[in-house]
Amino acid sequence: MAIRELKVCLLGDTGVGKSSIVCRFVQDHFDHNISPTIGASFLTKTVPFGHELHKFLIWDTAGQERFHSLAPMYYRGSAAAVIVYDITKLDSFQTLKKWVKELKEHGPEDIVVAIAGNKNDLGDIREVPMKEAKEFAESIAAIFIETSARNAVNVEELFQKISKQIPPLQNPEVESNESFKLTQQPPPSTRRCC
Amino acid sequence: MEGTGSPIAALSQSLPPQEVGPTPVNEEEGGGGGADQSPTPLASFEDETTSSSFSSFSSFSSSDVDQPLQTESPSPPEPQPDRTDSTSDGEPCARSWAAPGPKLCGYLDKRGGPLRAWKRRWFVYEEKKSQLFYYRTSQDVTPLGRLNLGSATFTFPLKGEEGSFHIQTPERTYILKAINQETMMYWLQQLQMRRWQYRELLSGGAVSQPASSDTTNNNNNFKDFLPMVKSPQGLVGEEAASQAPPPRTGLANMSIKHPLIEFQNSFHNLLAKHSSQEFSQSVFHVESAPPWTPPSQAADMSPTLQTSPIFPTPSTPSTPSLPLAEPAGQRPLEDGRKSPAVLNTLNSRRSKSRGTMSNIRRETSSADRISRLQQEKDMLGEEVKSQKELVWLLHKALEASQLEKRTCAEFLAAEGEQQRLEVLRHRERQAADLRSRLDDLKTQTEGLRRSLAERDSQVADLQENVDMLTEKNHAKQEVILKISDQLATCMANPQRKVSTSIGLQAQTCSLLQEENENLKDDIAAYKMQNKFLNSEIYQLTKLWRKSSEQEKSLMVKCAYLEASSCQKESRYLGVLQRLQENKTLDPAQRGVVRKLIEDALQGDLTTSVKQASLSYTLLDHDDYGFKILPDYEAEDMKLLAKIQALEIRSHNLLYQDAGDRPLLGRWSQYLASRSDGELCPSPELKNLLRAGIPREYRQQVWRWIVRARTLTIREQHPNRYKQLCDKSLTSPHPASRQILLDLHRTLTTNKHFSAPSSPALQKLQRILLAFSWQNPTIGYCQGLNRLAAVSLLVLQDEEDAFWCLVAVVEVIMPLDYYTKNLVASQADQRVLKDFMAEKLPRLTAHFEEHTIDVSLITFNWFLVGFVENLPSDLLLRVWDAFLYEGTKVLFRYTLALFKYKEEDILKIHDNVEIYQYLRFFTKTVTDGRKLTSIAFTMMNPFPGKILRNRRALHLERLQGELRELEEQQKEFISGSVVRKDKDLDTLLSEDEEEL
Repeated sequence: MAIRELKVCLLGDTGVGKSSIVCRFVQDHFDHNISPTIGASFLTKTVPFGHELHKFLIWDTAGQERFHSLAPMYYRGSAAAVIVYDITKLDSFQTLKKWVKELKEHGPEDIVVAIAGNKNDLGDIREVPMKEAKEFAESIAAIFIETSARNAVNVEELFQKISKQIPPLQNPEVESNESFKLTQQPPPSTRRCC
Repeated sequence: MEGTGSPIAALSQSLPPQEVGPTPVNEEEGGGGGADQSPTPLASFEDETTSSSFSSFSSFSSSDVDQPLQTESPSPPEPQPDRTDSTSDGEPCARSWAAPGPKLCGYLDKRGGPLRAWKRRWFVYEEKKSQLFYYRTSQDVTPLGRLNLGSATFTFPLKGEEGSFHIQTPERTYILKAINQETMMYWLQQLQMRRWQYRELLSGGAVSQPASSDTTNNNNNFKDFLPMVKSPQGLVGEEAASQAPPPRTGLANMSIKHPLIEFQNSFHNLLAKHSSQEFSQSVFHVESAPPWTPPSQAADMSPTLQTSPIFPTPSTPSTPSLPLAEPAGQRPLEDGRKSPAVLNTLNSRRSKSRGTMSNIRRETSSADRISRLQQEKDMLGEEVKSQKELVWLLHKALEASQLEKRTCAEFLAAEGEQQRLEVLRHRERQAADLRSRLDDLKTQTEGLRRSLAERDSQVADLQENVDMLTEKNHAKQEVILKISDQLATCMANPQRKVSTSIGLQAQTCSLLQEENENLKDDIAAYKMQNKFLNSEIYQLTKLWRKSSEQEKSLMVKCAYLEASSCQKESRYLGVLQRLQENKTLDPAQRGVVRKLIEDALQGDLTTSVKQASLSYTLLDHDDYGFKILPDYEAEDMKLLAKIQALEIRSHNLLYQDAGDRPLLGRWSQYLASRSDGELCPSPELKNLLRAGIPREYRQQVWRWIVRARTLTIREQHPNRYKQLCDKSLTSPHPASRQILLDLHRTLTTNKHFSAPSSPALQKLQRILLAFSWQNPTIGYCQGLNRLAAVSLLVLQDEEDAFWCLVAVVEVIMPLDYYTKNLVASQADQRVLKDFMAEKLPRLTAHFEEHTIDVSLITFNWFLVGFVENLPSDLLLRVWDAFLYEGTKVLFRYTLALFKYKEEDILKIHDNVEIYQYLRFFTKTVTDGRKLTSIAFTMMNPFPGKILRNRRALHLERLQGELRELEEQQKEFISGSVVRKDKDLDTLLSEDEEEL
């Protein structure tokens, strides 16, 4: 079975649950007080998809704004970016819009953007209406899903949707090494530096 | 001295109760035979022996000697041969307990059973297992039970029955009773000694030279506490067996079986006791003689006696009536001695004239009266005499006148009749007149005589009175004499002063005295108990120390074994891992390997952590509350993680003590030489800090360093921290939201921060909020929470931790390290790459080959000073040097970390795997000293100047890039996107790739 390595980076405001989503996805574990990410954190997880194995190389970034200047290091060469917001914090949705814009400007051209409204389990204190978020996602042709890392809701699905959006390999026979090269060396025209 | 009686009192008078003879218990319990036999033959035998042995001591009269012995003699007969044996031995039985003593056995009363009654048992000490067996009699073969003395403690109750003591074994407490206090002490000390010898034997093998010297040592030590009690002969030891059931005759036995000197001693003792007892009795007698002293006697007397102030006679109680009876006896009634009623009245009469002074005064006045009456009587007597003379003279005169008349009448007859008649008549008238006058005088005389008689009787009465009073006076003088005598004796003996002055007081006084005596006895008893318990404590402490040393050595051994087992296991897992990677294996072998790996992983880390927590040094958390074993998230890393964990453990187990001790010594030496509390920079201090501060001094040294680094700010603003805290409360900095968000996500593996209500979290919050106003441009940057948390863990004090944070962020770290774009941090990453290329060229090439950007990994090492990237002990060691030397230390350690694992990294040839390895390898560093030596020797030379230059260079470049980027963005936003820019972009990004 062919292994495809997919670089994915997680972006989003501080405290929205980026690390929690990764932790849930990779280890199926949830910790209320997961340490804030400084710089970035790197994790991998391999999941089967169709006749391929998708190995997600997940770069989980720091949320605080002053770390944004480091983000290009992580989203550069990414096959997908998951932008996470907190459905109970309108601010985090505004931050999400900023990230979308930045990716548009500096991100890889063919990057798959997924919008994840986390903390779905806290629906009663919701500040961001699902409809609004969904419409926004549609407007930028992004994947949209509401998740709950705490209750393990839609986390797997999020990554499955990403897998689906990844364009199939031109040549199914190529080894994983080549696919790696593909993800590592995106067209130079799209690259921006911090 | 009665009732519960303190042991000392009992000890000093230990003889009397024994003389009473066999107790009922003996007859019921003790081996029978001996008790039933008549004691007389033995008594005679003993008399012989004693008298023979005593013949040499002239000081004792034979009657003196015989008397007590005969009374004590009812001891059981003993088999004759035994007796001769023991006498023929003739060894002086001065048994010091340096030599393993003779067999320790003897009869003791043991309290037990449902009735809690005393039962006499034969106790034998067994040395091999340090047990005390007890039998019904000494002849019995099977013991009734046993006490394990190896871990027993001994004590004796102060207020318990005489001779009783307690042996506490872990299972229960045995209450035993020796015959007397002395025997009890003997037992206790013997038991202590035996226990000691036993433990010695256990720990040090044979009780050879060192052991015995130890015991003598011990013995000496015991002398500090209590003098050794000599074996109470005949009461303890094998010979005690023969004196079986009624063993309260020990002293009698002794005379036969033991050498002369012993006997002499004990007899001396005995005599001394006896005489002292006599003395005490005589004292008691004297004390009790005054009838008012013992209330019982006083009660026998009439109540007036009790109230009467003085009873002078010290003899018998009946005597006080004597001085009263004597004057009474002079009285015609003679009733003084007979009826108590009269006595009473007499007494009451006397009591009416109580008060010696007034009595005397009254007596003197009556004497005056007597003398006056005497005078009066004398005068009257003289008067009567003169009256008699007068009457006699009158008679004479009458006779003469009658004679004259006759002659006159004759004469008249002779001269003129008429005249003669007249004369005659005249004379007759005259005569009649004289006669009537005579009659008058006679009646007068009669009256006088009568009055004289009256006076006489009166005088007699008075005389009587006088006699009585003089008698009384006499008696009183005697009394006074007695009192003054008593007073004098009382003055000589002030204790009794009060008692002799007034009866009631005397009573209470004597009671008090008695109480006093009791208390004295108690004190003595307490002293003795205290001494004994001291010795017990001393011994137990010694034993405890020994066992703990043993335990420690066992623990070390255990740790060593565990370490080697850990190493073996990690090696085994390594082999498994290699097998797993080996692709040449056939599927069956692969299956086996996978199974083995699964098995190895199932015995998970948690169990090893549990085991570790059982052992004494390895706990879940270290001194600062950090979790010792890191968690590994990556599933595919579990095998590797476990190998690492095992290696860490084995390393910890092996080196936990070895390396730290000399360091501790160096530090304590260094700090002792600098008592003023100020640090002055020196190469010595630098080297010490690089080696790491021992936990004991870390807080102190950090405080010094932080103080030195923040001195100027703090001098300018002494109350800075408090002001900032207040300010952050009244007007929160915009960053406070982020602070609160991160607060509960700080050092979550540390137990001080894991609990939401932990006080450390509140301190941390205040520190961070205060800092947001201390440096408003930084406000708060994620990561500062970790810096502050580590500061807090080490420094404890909130304000110190705040200043530590200030020192790190504002003084040690370059400007703009945490500000908006983290420019300085990013510049440092470029500097690091330069150093890596210089110091680790192979690794740099390897990374380039696999397009690894180390800054993705190392960026946060620098930003948070390795917090949560290194094992806590290493982290703090890094910080020890970092606080003193600055950021150079971070570069050194970063390079050292790569160097430490260089070979491992070089083996990995996959981009993702390298990243994965780099992400956690820092936590697997086990040999901190190796790392430190790499950092500070292998990375030399490491001039600060080069660092500064490179920093300046890269910062300048980066800022230029940033400016360009900003301009680009502005252009982009303004909508004028030109193709040209893209070319520039590619150029820049290529630059970036080197980052």
